[in-house]
Amino acid sequence: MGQGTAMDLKKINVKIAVEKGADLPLATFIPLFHRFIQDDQLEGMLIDVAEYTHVHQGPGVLLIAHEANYSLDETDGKRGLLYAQKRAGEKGSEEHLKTAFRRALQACALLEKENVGKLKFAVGRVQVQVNDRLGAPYGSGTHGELESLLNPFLNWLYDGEKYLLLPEKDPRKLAGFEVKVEKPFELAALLKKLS
Amino acid sequence: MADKRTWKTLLQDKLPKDWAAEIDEFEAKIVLNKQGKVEPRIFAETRLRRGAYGQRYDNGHRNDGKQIRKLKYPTEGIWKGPDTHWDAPGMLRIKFPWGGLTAEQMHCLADLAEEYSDGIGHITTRQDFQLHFIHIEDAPDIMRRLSAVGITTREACGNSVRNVTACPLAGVCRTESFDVTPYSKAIFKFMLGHPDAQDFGRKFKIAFSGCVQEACGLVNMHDMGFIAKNVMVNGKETPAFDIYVGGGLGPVPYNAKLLFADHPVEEMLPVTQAVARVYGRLGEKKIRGMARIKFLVAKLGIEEFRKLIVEERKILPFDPRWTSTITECLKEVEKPSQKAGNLKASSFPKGFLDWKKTNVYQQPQYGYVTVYVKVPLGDLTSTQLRGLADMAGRYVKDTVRTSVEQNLLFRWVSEGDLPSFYETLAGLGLSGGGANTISDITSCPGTDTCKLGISASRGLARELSERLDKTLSSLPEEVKDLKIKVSGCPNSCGQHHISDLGFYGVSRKSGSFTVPHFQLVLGGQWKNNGGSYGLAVAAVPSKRIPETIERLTGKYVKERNKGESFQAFVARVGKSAIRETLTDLMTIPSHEQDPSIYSDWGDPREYTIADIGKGECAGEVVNPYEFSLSQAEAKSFEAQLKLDQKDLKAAVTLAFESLVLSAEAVVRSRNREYVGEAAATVAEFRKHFFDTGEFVKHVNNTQFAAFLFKAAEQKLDDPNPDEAHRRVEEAQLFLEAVHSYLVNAAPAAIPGA
Repeated sequence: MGQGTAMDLKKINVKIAVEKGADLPLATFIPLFHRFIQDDQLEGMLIDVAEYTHVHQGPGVLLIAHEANYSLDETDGKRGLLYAQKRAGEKGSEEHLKTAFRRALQACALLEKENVGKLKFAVGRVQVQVNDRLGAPYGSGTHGELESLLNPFLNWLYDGEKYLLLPEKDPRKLAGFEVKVEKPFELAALLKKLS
Repeated sequence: MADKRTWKTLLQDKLPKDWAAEIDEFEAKIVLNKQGKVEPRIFAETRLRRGAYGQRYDNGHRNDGKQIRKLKYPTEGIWKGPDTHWDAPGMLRIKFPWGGLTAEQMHCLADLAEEYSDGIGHITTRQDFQLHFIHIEDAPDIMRRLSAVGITTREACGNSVRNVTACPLAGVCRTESFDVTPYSKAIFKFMLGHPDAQDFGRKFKIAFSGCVQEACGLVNMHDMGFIAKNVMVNGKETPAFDIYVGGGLGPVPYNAKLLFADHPVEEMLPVTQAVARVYGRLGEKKIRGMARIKFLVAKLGIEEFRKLIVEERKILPFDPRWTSTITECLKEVEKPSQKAGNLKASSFPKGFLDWKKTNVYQQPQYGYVTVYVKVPLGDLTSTQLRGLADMAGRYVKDTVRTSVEQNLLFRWVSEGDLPSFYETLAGLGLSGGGANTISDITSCPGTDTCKLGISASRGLARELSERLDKTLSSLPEEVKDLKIKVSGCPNSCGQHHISDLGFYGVSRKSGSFTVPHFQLVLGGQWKNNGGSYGLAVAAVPSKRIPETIERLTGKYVKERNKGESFQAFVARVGKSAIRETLTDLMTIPSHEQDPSIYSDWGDPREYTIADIGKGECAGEVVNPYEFSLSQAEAKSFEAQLKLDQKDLKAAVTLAFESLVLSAEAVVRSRNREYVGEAAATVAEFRKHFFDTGEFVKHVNNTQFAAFLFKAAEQKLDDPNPDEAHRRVEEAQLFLEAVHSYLVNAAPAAIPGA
């Protein structure tokens, strides 16, 4: 996984698409995030909740942690759970990828549990971005390196099932891919694998 | 990706050398601080002067709704200020002098918000941008990237000359005397890092207005302000300034005083330098709460202050930049990028005509308009910032400005382009109408991110905006034009003093619980450069503010005289009658009756600090301090009524009685049996609560107690209107501080709490 590449995925964004529940009011998630902090239900050092429900296609509602922000993000009009890693240790790209996916999926699992029948995440539709224009400027070089890091990981995570990697088209945005796995996967199964 | 790439090396040719050196120096201070070689207090001022502010919960404690939780930031033992954790998220304030920003700068902000913040760029009430949840170690690279596009954060905070603001319509205004933009640019350039502006006891804010009668640059509330006017010199119309000093909001607002009338524009920079010198030399340094220049001007009197400035001006060493900076800035003329045009289409996009009514300003230049982009709560996403940058490129080039009402203005839009401009805005979710109306609400960050926030100002503003946007079209015309402004605490960052309906956050105890409230402020004036300041009328639970507004506006519509402004209506009807209208809303229901009152807007946590447990006597026995507090409230309100009636002496007397009763409440919180005369009460308060640091510790401010001591020493037998207004305001603020103290002080110290 990731052999021969110099890219270090410390600042990685993983956004899991919402399959059902895109119409749930964003305010629904405010008390949930507060409770996740109260009960220490997510990994990392959880700090506060920030609300941007008044903003068009924005970060929605965020749970601010020291290491990352969790949010019900609506960028580009697509709602999903975004895990945006801000600070990581020196564990290497593979571990950072695993951590980001695990934490994103953990948050999805918790939110689904709190909204049974109303909210479901499409765990095979994931946006992966590198939130670091210095280390990963937009361009074919970055996309090539990122692809070589992602492929072994995604093959492992999705049991070798077919998937598409669609690169970000807008050069002003962060370098990254949209991952579309052909076969549906269960959230719990992926989490078990990542635990 | 090569490891050696850094923003420093990548941008080294794009940064002005002095800016680059300052950022390098700041980065070195970060390293030294991490090694424990810089005192936290020193590092705090260092970072503040570079725009890196603290943020809520950076002291490592947060009420999670159940308990006060210790936030275990990873880096232990390193501080970025007294009691400020190194790893705690902070805010970076980015200066945009006169509110001007370019497409390139908007792209930069978009990238930075995405990479380092929470994806939002926030427009402030002083034409700045802020990024929140920033790690201090990321600050130098952010500063480099900003510097590369011509932006500095230097002196965005700290005891320095803050962002120079100006009317966002300057140059395209129908009523201005002349365009103040080049002069605001010149003063920014001249004063940035000026040696005479490095020894202030507090911040110093400068504003420019093109005319007297509009809100314009709000000169009346600034430390120093310039209002443009044309005067006849040797039979020739010549630009000049009326120069004002000593205004300011803050907890106690002061009206600016005229320093020089009809002053030549060429004298603008040396006069500013002289004011900076005098303020640096004579301004208060020890008591932070009394250190703004407004206190110095009030203490000396404007005549004496003027005399000092004239003397200082005479001995200033000549500086060629006094004129060359202005000459240079006058050469930078803003030009439209598109040809002038007229609206021609017979069918317009849906919603266009309504939007045009409130969001489009006809420029005096034929065929051009200025568009107000209404930005909810001043928040823009990275996607929106990029979209707006594209629009700037397409329609107007680099003529965009921020406003103190947290909106964006696109100037020099060809009128013929308006329909497509509107549609492009709609695509970004920014085509909301109602700019400059009652639904266009200004708010400071409040409890969302500010360390001083008491109530959720943004939560309230969001709620009110959403409600009012829905009903705007059906509101009576006289209500549509009212201004609502919200601050999370008495410090006025939301400019509540100069709105029709102003609110600032306070708290009240109810049994063993604490209830978020907003103090309603009425009588303020937005026009005439923030012409007059409102006064507190009633504290209402946060959740009842929407109903408060409905009642007040309803009363106004029903009872107003023909053509009567809201301000005049309030003055005529009287605060007593208005307060009576709200009496039932001010009463706090029990927690069992309505638990929703005990949390704030957008925040489901119970609004209480967890260390206030339910006492044995909670809700059953009234402690004597509560009687004192209640009497203090009544006296404070009576003082306001007397002020309205122009009975200045009575107002001052009542204000003093309120101050003493508030102090008595504090003394009685520790000693239930306490009874004493005014002088004894002040002495008791000073001895047991002020000198011990007990009061300051719980209200986090020395200024409020100073109001009591000042009133005890200066009785004001023959007060002028300003003095009386201030004394009444100070009594109200001390009362609020006492409420805070009683909420925050350890319950052990308050029997029955």
